[in-house]
Order: sequence, then structure tokens, then C-alpha cells
Amino acid sequence: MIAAEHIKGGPQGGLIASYKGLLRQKVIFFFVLLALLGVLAIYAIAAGTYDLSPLKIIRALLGYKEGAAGVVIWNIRMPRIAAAIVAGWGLAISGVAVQCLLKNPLASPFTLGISHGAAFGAALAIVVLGAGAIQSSVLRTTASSLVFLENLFSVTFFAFLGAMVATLVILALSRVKRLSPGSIILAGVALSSLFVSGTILIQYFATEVEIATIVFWTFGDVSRSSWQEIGVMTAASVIVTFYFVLNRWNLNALSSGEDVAKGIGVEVEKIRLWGMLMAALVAALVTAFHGVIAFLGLLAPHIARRMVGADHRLLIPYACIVGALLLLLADTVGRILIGSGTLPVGVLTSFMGAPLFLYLLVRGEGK
Amino acid sequence: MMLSIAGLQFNYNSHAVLRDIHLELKQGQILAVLGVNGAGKSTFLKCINRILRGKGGSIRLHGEDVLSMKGDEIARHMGYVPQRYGEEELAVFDAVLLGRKPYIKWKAEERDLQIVETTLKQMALDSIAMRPVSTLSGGEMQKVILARALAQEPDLLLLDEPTSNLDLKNQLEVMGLVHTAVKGRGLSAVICLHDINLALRYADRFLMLKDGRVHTQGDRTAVTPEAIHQVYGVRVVLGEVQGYPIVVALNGNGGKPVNG
Repeated sequence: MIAAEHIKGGPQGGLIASYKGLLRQKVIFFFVLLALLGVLAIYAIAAGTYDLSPLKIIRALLGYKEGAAGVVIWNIRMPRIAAAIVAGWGLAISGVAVQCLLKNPLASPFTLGISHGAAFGAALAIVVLGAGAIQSSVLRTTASSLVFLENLFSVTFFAFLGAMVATLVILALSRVKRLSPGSIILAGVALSSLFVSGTILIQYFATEVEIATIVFWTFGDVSRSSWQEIGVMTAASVIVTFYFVLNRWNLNALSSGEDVAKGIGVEVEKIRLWGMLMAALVAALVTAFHGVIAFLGLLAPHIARRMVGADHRLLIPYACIVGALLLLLADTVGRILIGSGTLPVGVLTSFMGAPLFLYLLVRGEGK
Repeated sequence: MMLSIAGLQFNYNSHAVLRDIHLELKQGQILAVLGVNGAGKSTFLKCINRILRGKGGSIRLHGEDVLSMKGDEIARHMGYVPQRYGEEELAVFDAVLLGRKPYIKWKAEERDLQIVETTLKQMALDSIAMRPVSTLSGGEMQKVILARALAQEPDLLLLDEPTSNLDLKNQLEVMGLVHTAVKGRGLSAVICLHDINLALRYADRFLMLKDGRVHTQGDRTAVTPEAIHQVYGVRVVLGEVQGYPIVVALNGNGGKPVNG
């Protein structure tokens, strides 16, 4: 945490200088976090049941054929690590956005029911449209790749539709009915359980294989994605992050209140609608490929805010990196501790996120 | 003429909130908008900078049509201080820097930072510049919001109850800052006020709203005990103490509820 309060303007017009100094510190600390992520990623590649020497890892990463070690690195560990980083980043940017756009510190894709909406949509695609092949992608052969792409598209599309339904309901309740932030979260809980029930209903009609495909969504998991899925997710995260970076001043204005924002010329309604769509899109993709990863979109923005403050110029990159770090850390810890590598990362993010959620709830009540 | 409004009307769900509002305000003048709760004071203010879009009528600033301006352009001409502001987590410096948003293309330039620094110093906020707004006292917070509006380098300030929830000292301080800014920078200001005493002390022009219409408009002589009685339903006497105009309510319930 950077202690902003203790830095004051110097005697002779040093206010701008100390302001810039503070900004510089925060930028430097961002690169420290980035380096930390890099170190953690390398550790995560090395750690696991199959022993890999650092030399082998470096050689494999540089493109040398390393036989079995290369297969383990490129086909098993790297996709999992990349998926954790991108999913964490995507959920974090989504969380930052919805918290600001709805002016609700408890908001996140998970607590608003957007994640469960996406999971329901994806389940629908798998069972009704038979898009189940997507999850066994590791075992996929090249012959099935065309079918795979089709499935990838339909699962993604339906997940997005599900997420959109939840998003539009939440938007309508908060904008038209003007529900309080706490009530919005209750609405999110109601939506979530509705979507979970829908998903269970779909399972009732599903084959055993389809059920197995659906069930892992109960707790999100980053271990099954293919490079194509990671590619799609990365593209979405980049676009959505860029959109919010473009709108960083508008987000700052919105976080200061709707009237303030309008008073400085922000087109509030337009940005809120587009922003919610963008946030839902990236959360939908992450959920379609990795299931419901609980609380990460809530945790990352709050941790980032404690580090860097509420200025979205810095909060956006910080939250993204913290999200990536958190999810990779949770996944790696789960993988190493349990050993078998089968503990879904969503279990760990729930253990981290639920206490924070309760804390925020209690703090909000106290005001 | 700095600001001229004619025939402004605003409906909320087919209910007319404002009807046929007209107003002329010169440079360097402070206009106090008076009236009971629900008379349409805040709505009127929001119509001026088009946060709410009125129905019919015209709003001109320096002769230019405000209704056809872009949002950014309006924000470069008018600084708005809303009545209820959300809880701000931004640091004071960043909160005031937001006032430069209508000018900022991609990043805040040196000039933007300098304007923020100057404004903070003028308002004696420089010592708390790096603190989050949410940790400030009510008076400090109000000054930060005012500083943001001034950082917009506006011609016209729109202030909605800038002194509500402030203690006496802060009320005078905030109104004093507004007065200094308007007179010193050659701006104009439209201020909604509950406190008639503060209005009489700081404003040059007065506009009294009743049921969404202009009841009385003019300089200090327009604020008569009769006008106040008709608008607020309270009998008052106007007097002067050590050169300051004051208004004292005589009876609290002249048959109508007392508000304001």
C-alpha cells in the first residue's frame, strides 16, 4: 500500500511535483506486480508432479523440442497458466467496471448473477445444441477441429446471451426501479439461483457425458482450456480493457456521482449501457470456458483499490494484474497442495472472496 | 447578457414542474433561486446545463444556444455543483482534476495540472490535496466540489444548495469563496438556496419560484415580506443588523406547512 496521505505539497509550488512523484511510484509498483506475475508463472510451470528443470523450461519456451517435457509444458501447464492469467484479468476488469457503473462496491459478475447466467447459457448450448465437445478439447484430434470451432462459437454465444439477460435485468432494476446497492445484490442472488435451477433442470435431460461436462461449472476450473479458447478470451479481454481505458476519465466522473458526471459533460446513460455490455461480454467468455469462478471479480478490484486508490487511470491496470495474480496463485496453490491438480480454483477463490464480501456488507451497513 | 432564458418548460411524466421560466443575468452577478421544497429549484438548475432537457423555450449563454451545444462544450462554459454528491474515493487532486475533463483529450496536460494546483491553493485545499475526498469534513468536501467546478474555467457557476449540511462558519466560507470567484473572475452564478439570509447577503439578483412559475424576479427590492409570505406561506420582517440584511420569521404556521 502506498501511503498517499502523508505526501503533501512542498513549500514552493511543489504540489504538481509531488503529485507526479506519487503517480510515478504507482506506475513503478505496477511493474513490480507485473514482474511478480512473471515469476509466479515460471514457478507454476516448474511446479507439479512431472519434474521440470529450469533449463528445460527455458529451452522449451525458446522453442527447442524437449520431448515429453515440452509436451507437459506446452500442452498441460502453459495453457492452464495462461488461462488463469487471462480469466483473472477478464473477471477483474469486469468487476472494476460494474462496481463503478452501478456505483455499488458489492457488484461483480458473480454477485450480480452474470456468471451464472453465462453458465446457464453455455449449459443450454451443450445439451440442446450438442456442443459438448468443447470441454474434451485436450483430447481433440485435428479432424474434429471444425466441429470444435462451431461448438466454441455456439457455447460462447449462448453464454453471452445468458450473461446479457442477467445484465439487463440488473440494469433495469438499478436504473428504472432505482433499487439500493444492497437490494441489487439480493436481486443478483435471486437471478443466480434461478440460473442454477435452470442449469440443474437441463442436467435432468442431459446424457451422462453432458452432465459431466456441465457439473464442473459449479466451481470454476482453469485446467481444461485449449489455446483457441484462451485466444478468444484474450482478444475479448484486450478489447474490453481498451474500451475501459479509453473511458477512464468517464469512469472517474461516474464514480463521483451521476450528477457530477453529467455536469462535466459525460454521456452517462450511453457509457453505462455500453460498459455493462462490455463487462458482461468478458465475464461471459471466461465463464463459458472455465465455469463460475466465484468472487474473483469482487476481490481483485478491492485489493487494487487498497493499493492504488480509486483513480481508474491506475485502478484498471492494477485490478487486471491483481486478478491475474490472484487466480494464478489460487490455481497453483490448489494444484501443489492437493497434488492431483483436480481441485477447482473456484473453491479457493470462494474461500478468499466470501469473507471480503461479508466484510463489505457489514461496513456498508455501518454507514 | 451572460445568460438569458425564455419560455423554459419542463415536464416530469406529464406533470409540469417548470412553466414559462424567463431570466436575464449579467456578468458578475449572483442570482439566488428561492422557493419551498419541491418548487422546482434543482430542476431549473439542471435544465440550464441540460442535465435535464426542458421542453420548449430557449437558453442562451453569451447569445449562443445552449440546447444545441455538445455536452463537453456546455461543461467548458458552466460549472455545476450538485446538491447530493456521491461518496468520492478519489484523492482531492484527482477529484478537482476531473473538472478539466471537458478539455482533456487523452491525458492531463501540464496546464491542467497547473490550473488544479492554483485552484487548490486559492481555496486553501493544497495541504489535503492527496487525501481521499471521503475522509474530509463536510465543509472541505463542499470546497472540493466547488474547486472542481472552478477548474472547469466556466463563465457560469450553477450551485445547488451549496451550504446545506454545513455549519455557520463553513456556510460563510463557502459562500465567500463563491462570491470572490464570481467577482474576481468576472463569472456569473445561479445558486439555489434555502437560507434567505445567506441569499440576501451574497446575491445581487433574486428569482422566487412558486409551483414551477416565476413568482418574483429582480434585485434586493423584489424580496419583500409580501413576496416571501406568498411564496413560503410565512410572515416575516426584513431588517438590517450592522449593515447586513436579515429576515426574521414571525409565525411558523400561517395556515400552511413551513418549509425552507
